[in-house]
Amino acid sequence: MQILDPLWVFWTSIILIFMGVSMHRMGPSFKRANFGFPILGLGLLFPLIPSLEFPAPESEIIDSLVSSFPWLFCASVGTMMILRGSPNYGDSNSLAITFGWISIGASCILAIPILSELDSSQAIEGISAIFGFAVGILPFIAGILLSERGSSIDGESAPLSEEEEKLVQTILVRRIGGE
Amino acid sequence: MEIEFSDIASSFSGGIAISSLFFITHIFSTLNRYYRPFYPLIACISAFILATLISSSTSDDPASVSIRESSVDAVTGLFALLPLSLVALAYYLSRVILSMRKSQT
Repeated sequence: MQILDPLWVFWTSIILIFMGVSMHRMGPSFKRANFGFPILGLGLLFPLIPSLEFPAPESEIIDSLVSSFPWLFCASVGTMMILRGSPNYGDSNSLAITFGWISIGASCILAIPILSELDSSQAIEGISAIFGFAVGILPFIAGILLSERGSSIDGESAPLSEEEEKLVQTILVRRIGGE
Repeated sequence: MEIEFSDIASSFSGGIAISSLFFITHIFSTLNRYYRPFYPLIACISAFILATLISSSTSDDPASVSIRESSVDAVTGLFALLPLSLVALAYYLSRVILSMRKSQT
């Protein structure tokens, strides 16, 4: 007997992933942002519960995730290493960049068999899904525009204090140089 | 392989459903006192209902099953095309490296 219904586990983990991403993107001014990563992790780990057998059609997503995992993992690791190794996002590190490119190369090699199996119907389904994702964003943008139109400016914020001005100046000089 | 209009409509509606579901979750999980969620929430719920109507019109199954199938079609379709994004990824990463080289010289 299964205690957890795999269907509920699947859709709950999808909601948790969405919640985790949204909370994480709220930024440091909201304490809720600290819960973003743990909730995202929970959402990603939930489907890995042993003995869970997902029903059709959800099992198809798990199958495509499993088949894409090797190249997705290599691409993610490679991207992280290259970005961490570049001075824009971390300390300059040629070794990390080299290993990052090797990882990206490996992900390309792993992805080629998947691409070669791609047929026209899958490609058209994928393109129409992308259109669907894009169209799904439009009502949200329209709703925001409508809300913004109805809102007024509550008041101007106070100018920066001398201490805050110095802090902003220090950050700018440190990041982009100059006096 | 023959492509039917219902497959295209199913993936399209699945895409709308997943997007709407993401934004509905986003609105609830990021709710704060500076937020005016009424219109975006109504718009996203309407989009989800529209997606359900489209997907159920292309299938004989009940709406709850057809929207699940459409969402799965959309995600698997996206996964099938995802390897193509490696080209864009390699391009942007090489731009990061090139800008690093430029700043070093």
